[in-house]
Amino acid sequence: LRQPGRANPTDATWLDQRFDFGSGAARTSMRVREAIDPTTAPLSYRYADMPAPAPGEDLDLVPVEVDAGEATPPTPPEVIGATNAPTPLGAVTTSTTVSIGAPQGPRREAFGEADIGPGGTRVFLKLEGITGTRRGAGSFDVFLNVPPGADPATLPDRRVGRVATFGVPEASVPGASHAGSGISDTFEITDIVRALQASSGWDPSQVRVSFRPVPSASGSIPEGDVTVGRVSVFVA
Amino acid sequence: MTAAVSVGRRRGRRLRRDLLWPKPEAWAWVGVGCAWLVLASPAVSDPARLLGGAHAHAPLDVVAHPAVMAVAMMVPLALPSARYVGESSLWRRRHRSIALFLASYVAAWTAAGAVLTAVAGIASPAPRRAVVGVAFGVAVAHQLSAGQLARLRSCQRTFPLAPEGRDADLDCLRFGTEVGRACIASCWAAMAAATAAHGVVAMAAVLAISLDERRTWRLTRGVQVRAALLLGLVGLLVIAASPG
Repeated sequence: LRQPGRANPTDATWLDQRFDFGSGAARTSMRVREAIDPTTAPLSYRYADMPAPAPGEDLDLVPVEVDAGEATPPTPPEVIGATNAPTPLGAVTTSTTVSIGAPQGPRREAFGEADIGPGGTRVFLKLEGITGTRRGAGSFDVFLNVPPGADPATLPDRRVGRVATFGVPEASVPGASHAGSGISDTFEITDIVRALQASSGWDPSQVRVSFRPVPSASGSIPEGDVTVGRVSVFVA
Repeated sequence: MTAAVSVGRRRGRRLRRDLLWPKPEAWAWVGVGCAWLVLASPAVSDPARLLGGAHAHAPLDVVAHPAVMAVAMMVPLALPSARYVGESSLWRRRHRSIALFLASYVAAWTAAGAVLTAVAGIASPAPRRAVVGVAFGVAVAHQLSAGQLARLRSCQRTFPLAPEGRDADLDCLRFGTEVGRACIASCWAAMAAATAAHGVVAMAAVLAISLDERRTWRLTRGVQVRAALLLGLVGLLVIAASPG
């Protein structure tokens, strides 16, 4: 963790937890402790906001967006709106509307147009309880405030991110490894909200979230039965 | 006077900011502490009750005692879910949602606990060592049984909660019942053993074992076996401390 006032656990169970990546000859196994300091082998890279390498050090530089807001302890995230019912995703673009309101907690006076952005309030979109049973369901691109009838693909500046359904069937079945609640994804939407506010495309009472199925390499849309249990908007 | 009020307000604000903002479920520990005081109170007049005592419950106690036990022993296990409920709720609803979740969770456990207490009452004429031995034996066997990891994992489920209104209240109640049911499936035998032991020390030991078991997100056979061994050890200690 590179955040003030916070530290990684020192529990050996966590530090020695091993994860396997890839398959066949490319299969790699790493322990958590090997990934804590990315500047040391086997990762050997450095984020742009980390101290400069010593002379002779040859490390890849990974650009990272430095957020001035990280300098102060974060306030707890606050839900400002969520859907009432699950959203089934299909072979065509599906949309749902999230009713939102102004924050009432620590960020209650910091949700105006000038307050959102670096160093100020950050906004997040959370997709919870993504479940499904059919393997091979494709991915979905998520968009914000796409007008009804419009093709999300024509509004790339409103694209929030992509939901991959890899692992969803396994996470949807209760067992020793999963509780059966599916997976969750969280996307930061601060920049999109700022841009929408600037272009008068932001409605402070509701957010429209659209899920556009991503065609496979062959151009087909894989069949699936993926459902998003809840779509919510957070501020922090 | 004004200065004292001002200091009090500042402390209140700091308590909210440092404790209740990041851990909205923290107030539940007050209830847990009170429940432990109630459970430990008989030992004030008779310290031997710390290790256990006879199962003589008035009819009302068959419900009241399991309810207090549920708050003392089972609420701590549900606090991660309670925090999830708080963090998933609108700010003004956070504590209401947590209260509804915990109320239905405790209600589910109270119903199960009443059955366990009644069974323990029926078994009370039998030698105490035999009752405790059977109860802890069943707890160890249940702990080692196939499916225990899945039952434990089920306690960590989440639930898409509606944000507002009656739907939100009902979702919190439903989620509390679901987590309660999952927790009963994974912990009923350990709770039965604690009920049979009928002593605060054994109850605290069973709670400590259960908390330790849930401390890690990666539930393994090793975690399962360690909990079973510790339960067996507590059982042996209770039997050794019991009159023949």
